[in-house]
Amino acid sequence: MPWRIVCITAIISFSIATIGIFVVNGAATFQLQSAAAINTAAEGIDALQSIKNVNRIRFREDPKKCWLTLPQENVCSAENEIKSGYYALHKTTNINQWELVYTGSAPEKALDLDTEKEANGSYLVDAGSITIAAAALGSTDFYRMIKIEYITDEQVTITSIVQWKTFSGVQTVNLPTFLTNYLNIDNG
Amino acid sequence: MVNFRGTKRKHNTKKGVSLLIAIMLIGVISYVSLSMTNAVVEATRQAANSNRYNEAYYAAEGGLVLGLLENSKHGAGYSATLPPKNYGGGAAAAAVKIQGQVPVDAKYGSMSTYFNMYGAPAPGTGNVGKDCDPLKAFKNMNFWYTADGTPHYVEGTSQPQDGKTWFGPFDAADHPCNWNKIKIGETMSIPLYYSTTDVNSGCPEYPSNSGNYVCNLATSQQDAFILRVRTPCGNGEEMCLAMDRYDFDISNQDPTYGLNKPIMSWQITGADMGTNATLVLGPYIYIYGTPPSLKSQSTIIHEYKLNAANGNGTFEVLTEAAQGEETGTKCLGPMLAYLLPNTANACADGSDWSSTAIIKPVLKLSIIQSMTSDLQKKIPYLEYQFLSDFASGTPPTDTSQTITSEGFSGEFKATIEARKSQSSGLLEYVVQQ
Repeated sequence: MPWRIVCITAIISFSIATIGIFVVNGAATFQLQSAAAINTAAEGIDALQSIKNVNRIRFREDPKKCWLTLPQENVCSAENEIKSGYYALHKTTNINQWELVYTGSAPEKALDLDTEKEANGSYLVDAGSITIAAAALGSTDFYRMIKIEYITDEQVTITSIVQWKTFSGVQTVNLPTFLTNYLNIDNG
Repeated sequence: MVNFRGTKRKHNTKKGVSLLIAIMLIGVISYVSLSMTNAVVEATRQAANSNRYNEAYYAAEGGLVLGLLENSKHGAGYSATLPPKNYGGGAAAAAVKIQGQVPVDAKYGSMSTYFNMYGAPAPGTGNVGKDCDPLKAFKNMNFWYTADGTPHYVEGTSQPQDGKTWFGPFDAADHPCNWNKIKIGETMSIPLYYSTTDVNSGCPEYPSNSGNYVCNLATSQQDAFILRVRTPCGNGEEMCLAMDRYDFDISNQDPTYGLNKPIMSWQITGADMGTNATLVLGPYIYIYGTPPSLKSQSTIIHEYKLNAANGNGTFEVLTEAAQGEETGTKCLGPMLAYLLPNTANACADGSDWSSTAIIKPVLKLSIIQSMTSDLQKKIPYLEYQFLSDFASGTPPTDTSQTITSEGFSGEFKATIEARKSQSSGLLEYVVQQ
């Protein structure tokens, strides 16, 4: 009878310990995933800042008009301008070449659904952009979108949105900031 | 009886041991569970904090580019505070401050020779000293300097008695954090105006920039300003006695200027408000004799003047009363007379400068000659400081526009500061976390 108490206590204890290990492992994975998501979002903003800076050099003849030209386009025109809306951000096969793919006005909520994964494949962050080993992240897919909203011709809000799925649902990191064309203003 | 008692005691002992083991197990598991809970909470907190810090940082960065945009729309001397801006409906916000004028409270105090004058660069923001901090600026008390360990500077009139070698007392205005460097070939601009969006300022609206008003700092005959220039310390330190600064070599004969070569030239440039014509006032250069010699009364900043300013420790090389020469007509007059509207100068009849006011006047300084000391060493740069006391009480425009952006997200704050020199488009960044 007394040993039965010990056995029952031991079983309950080990069960709690096992659950605890799973929970801690889950929390550690979540922490790694969060860190990856935050850095992926920050990379998105840094990429847009880099695109703006490079455009100033690429289109030095008219930096006021061409400051937000798509990085993969070599001609500054209204057609090639980064417009308001959502974009997927990739590195092309060329080293250090960013590519912004317009995906229309698709809202980020679409990523909640597994069935949308294929449809939104262009949002999937390239493996090369994430430096943490995929195994440590639980082989999770990270989706990144860049949302562009014009405030004036010289000022836009950019929001880097990264989403990923965990056992408790879709997690999102939003990182907003501004871009301005402050170098090309003439104050008379 | 004895056996019965013995069996019962044995049974009780077993129960006690089991209970003890159970309690110990529960204790160990409770401890492990608490540790795990703590680890989970800590992991979640770290993830949230990391996100919050990034939000604050990028909010500050967004605020900074907004501030730079706003600054670009106005120009030199523009000061403003932009209201905190929320980002994309998120938790982060940024407050932005543009400081183009020397702060109102940055006047030199009563202990200084330059009591009640403003300095540009603003005290504590110069680039001659290391680790300058405007919040710890020297502008009131005299100070002492030692190269023997930190702190290098101590305020006070009495020499510190700690066994170190101290030099002093120095005037607060002489602190290296109150001076800027100028190198050979560089041109430094000191705007003699400030920009504002205040429609009640009484200043003219700049024609090509609607809503932007440009106010001249000089408005009265009582206005005073002093340009101070000094050589760096001969031993390479940032501070020393005046006698330990480089002196210029005045033993070499120059075919144009004789023994006294011009080192730093200055110009006041601007536009005539009536005709929009460009106006240029340069230094008075007087060369006389055989062989030719640059005379001391010349207002171009020459070696004799710099050596004398070093010798008496004032470092003063130019004031508002110095004679300037119109580049076109060669008319002469005091600098201040040219800056004030409707003021007669030495040749009012033939002057290019009309009776209407000059708009956007800028004092430009440039080193035009390689510099050699009397010990035949190369002098790498000069240090300059512009002091002013305008009758209107208006602080002068600083040598750089400072844009400070503070991003907030929850308890996290990130501060980014950019300084844009009035002389160039280059930005100098400081990030505080």
